[in-house]
Amino acid sequence: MNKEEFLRKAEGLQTLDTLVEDFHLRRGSVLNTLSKLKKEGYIQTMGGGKQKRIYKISQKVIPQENGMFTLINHYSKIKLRPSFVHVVHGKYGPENALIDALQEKDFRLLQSSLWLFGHITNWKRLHALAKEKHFEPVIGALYDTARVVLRTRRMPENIYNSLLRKKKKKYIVILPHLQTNDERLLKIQKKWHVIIPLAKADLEDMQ
Amino acid sequence: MITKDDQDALFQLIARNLKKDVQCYAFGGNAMMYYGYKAATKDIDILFENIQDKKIFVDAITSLNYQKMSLKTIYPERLEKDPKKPEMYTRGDERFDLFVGNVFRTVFSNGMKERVWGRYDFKSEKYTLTVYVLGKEDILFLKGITHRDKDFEDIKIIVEKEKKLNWEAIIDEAIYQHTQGNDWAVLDLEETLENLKKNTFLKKEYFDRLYSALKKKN
Repeated sequence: MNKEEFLRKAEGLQTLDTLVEDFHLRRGSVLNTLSKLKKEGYIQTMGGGKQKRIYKISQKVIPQENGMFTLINHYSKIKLRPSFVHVVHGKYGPENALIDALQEKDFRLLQSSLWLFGHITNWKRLHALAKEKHFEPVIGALYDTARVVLRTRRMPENIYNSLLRKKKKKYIVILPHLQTNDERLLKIQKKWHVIIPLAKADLEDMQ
Repeated sequence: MITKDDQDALFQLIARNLKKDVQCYAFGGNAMMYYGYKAATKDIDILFENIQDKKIFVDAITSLNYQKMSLKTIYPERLEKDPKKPEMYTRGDERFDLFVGNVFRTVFSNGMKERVWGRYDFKSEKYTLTVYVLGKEDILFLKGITHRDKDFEDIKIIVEKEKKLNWEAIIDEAIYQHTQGNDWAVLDLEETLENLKKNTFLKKEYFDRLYSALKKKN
C-alpha cells in the first residue's frame, strides 16, 4: 500500500491497535510506517508511557509551529494555556523564548520559563538579547532562582559576571505586588537588586 | 490574490529587507486568513503605531518593486478625502493598505491592543518583522468602516464561523470611537448590524446602546 493511500484511509485519530485492525498488518510493520511518516511530518503523537499513545494522522504535512508557548510547554513541568497565538518564522530558541516570556509580565509564563535555563545552548546569544532589552540583572537573578529548584545548564563565568556588573542601585521589580518569602531567594534578591516574584509555595510546585 | 502561506513567505522576505525591527498590526482579510476564515485575500491591511515603522516597511516593500497606487475606485469618495487615508502599494496582484495610528477616523485604541489575538514573528538574520493579529471583534468592526467591495461578505463569514462573538466589546469600541470624535463609527456599525439582522440574531439592546450614544453627542 502506498503512502497516500495509507494516509487517506488512516486520517484522523488512531491508536496502534486500531491501525493493526484496520490494515491487517503486524504491530511492527505499523510502527515502522508510523515512524517514517512522523519524520516526514504527517503524524503527531499524543500520550505514550502510561497513557495509550494516540496518533493524529493527516493527509497534509502538519506544520511544526515554533513559538514561545510551544517551546515553554515542551520543556516546562507546568504547562501553559496560551493567552495568545505566538508563531515564529525563523531561528527561535530557548534564549529568545526566555526574553519574550519576561516581556509579557505574566507570573505563570515567568515561572514556566525557568525550565528553559536547562536548555540554553547559546549563552552568548542570551547575553546579547538581555543586553538589547536591558534585562541583564533580571536574567542573572532568574538564573540563580532556577538553580535553587531545577537542574540547569551552567552559565559561563564571564557572562555571569558581565550580567552582575549591570546590577543597578535601585531594585528592579519584575512583577508588581509579588515578592518572595523564601530565604534563598531573598539572598538572590539582595545580590542582584531584583525583586523575585516567586514565593516558597511556588518553588514547591516546581519540584 | 495571496494565500496565507504565500503571505507568510512574503513577510519573511520583507523581514530580510528591513533596516530595523518593525511592529505592525494585521486586520482585514489577511488577518482573517490567520483565523482560518478564508483561504486567500487581495488586500493586506496593516496598521502601524508610528510613522517610523511604516517608513521602514515601505522602504522594504519598494525594494521589492511594490509601487504606490491611488485609492480611487477602491474606497468610497468620502474615505478617499479622509486625512487619515492609507497609502497603497502593489506589484500587480495583492495590495498593501498601510495605515498609521488610525484606520481612517478610527483611532487604534488600547482596547484593540489588549484584544490582540496572535503574534507572528518573522525573523531574519538581523531584524524581526512582528505582525500582531487583531481580535476578531476588531476585525469585524474595522471591516464595517472601510466600505470596500466584499467587506460585508467578510463580516458575514466571521459571524457565521464564530458563534460566540463578543458583541458588547464591538458596541463599546464604536461608542469609544464616537467619544473620540469619530461620528461615523456608530453610524457605520449601526448600518452593518442592520444588514446582519437578516442573517443573524442581534439583541435589540445593541441598537438601543448605539442610538443612545448618538443622542448623547447630539
